[in-house]
Amino acid sequence: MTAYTRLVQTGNDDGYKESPSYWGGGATGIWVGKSGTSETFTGAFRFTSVTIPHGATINSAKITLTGYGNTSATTNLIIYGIDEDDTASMSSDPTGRTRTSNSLTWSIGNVSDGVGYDSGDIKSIVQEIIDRAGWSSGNAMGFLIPDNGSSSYNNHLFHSYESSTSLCALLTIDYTAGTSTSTTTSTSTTTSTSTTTTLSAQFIGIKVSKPNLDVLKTFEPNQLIFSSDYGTLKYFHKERKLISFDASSGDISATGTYIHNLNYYPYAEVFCRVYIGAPSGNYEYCPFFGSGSTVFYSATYIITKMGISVYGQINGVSSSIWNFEFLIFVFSNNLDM
Amino acid sequence: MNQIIAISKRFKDVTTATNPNDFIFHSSYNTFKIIKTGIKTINVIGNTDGQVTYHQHGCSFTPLVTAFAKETGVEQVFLPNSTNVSLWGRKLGWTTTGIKFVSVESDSKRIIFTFDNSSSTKIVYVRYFVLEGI
Repeated sequence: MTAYTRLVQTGNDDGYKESPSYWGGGATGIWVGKSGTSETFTGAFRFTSVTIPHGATINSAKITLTGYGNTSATTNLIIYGIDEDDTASMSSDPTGRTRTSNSLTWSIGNVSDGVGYDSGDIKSIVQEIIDRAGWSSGNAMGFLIPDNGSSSYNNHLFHSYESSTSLCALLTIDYTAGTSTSTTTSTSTTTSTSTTTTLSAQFIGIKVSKPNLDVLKTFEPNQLIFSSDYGTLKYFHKERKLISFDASSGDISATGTYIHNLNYYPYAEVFCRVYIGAPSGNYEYCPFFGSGSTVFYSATYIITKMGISVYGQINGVSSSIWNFEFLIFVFSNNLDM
Repeated sequence: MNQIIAISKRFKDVTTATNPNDFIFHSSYNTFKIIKTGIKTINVIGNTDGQVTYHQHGCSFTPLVTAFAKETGVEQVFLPNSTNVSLWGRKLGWTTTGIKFVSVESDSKRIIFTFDNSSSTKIVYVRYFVLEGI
């Protein structure tokens, strides 16, 4: 018997689908269970370079998912294999791919952060894939874990490759290499064996704990100044954008755009102050709305793939030039929407 | 002796800088860690205000949450406490798509999204970031 283990290797090899149509390919975390009253999650995982030869006998197999945060709920799931010889990358939604006829139900109770949860024995699923005529050692093997009747809002979050390269999904297979016999004019017997590839999970990263805490024993993110297990907001650019309108000419609003040229929707934070004449007053967090006895005012913005458009409006004024000074902070984090 | 890890911005002397704005990273100051992020798909029913959708965040604490919304088929992202606009015009004010992202809140277990909709039923995607304990 030979033991084989394999972690998910790239961000394009795991993700989750939230019905009806959202595919979280590069998501930080994999959701499973039921996301709402009717919407459900489907977890998806792909393991590359599975060096198990065609004809091998699968003695046991399991998937291990590691909790990402604590969740008190019970999810009822079902595991399918993807019935393909060498399943492709999961850079796009893979949940429509053909599923194996074998499956296994999986019920998961409360989940704790950092704790691994093993599926039951999925050897029949793995055997079905290995037995495909087109399977060969080194191919990629995929699994889908849709909801199977969880109660509304009962869901769990597990680590993805993006949240932890060492705590993401793990495939473990115990197998016996197959034996093949061929007969010619003289009889010969050949036995095929395979090498074992074992990748052990280990922590590689950088952590900085808050004062007076042992960094080696500190895992709670609130106790860490920095941890490479978690992303951060990456500051890209700060821009001041002044827009004005002349209320005496009947205007009530003004708009303007800062072009970031990122070609995606970036994370942004915007603040604004409103004044007549020389710059004055305090910046407020945007968007904001307000009103007085005779006026209504607002400052807001939208984000596009090429820019951030700001907008200011005051109803109920009929004189003076009104200035909206926006302070725009753009981060390089992609909203991926 | 206190030991720190610090990375200064370009052209700033890391050994003498004291202004936090001069640092890319400084171990004396906390960072907003993206503890979790994801997209919530919300079916915002037509002509109904105050629609509340919950999402379990799975944290052992009440987190600070930021969020950004996008309607299907509308190529712009809008924010909590704002109305999605289809037109901005001087002297005219704005015209809305009908959707308003009223608020994003959090409690010890859930992220709470609230929407108004004065138009037909629409699908809205919300990208949320769980950044830190409050």
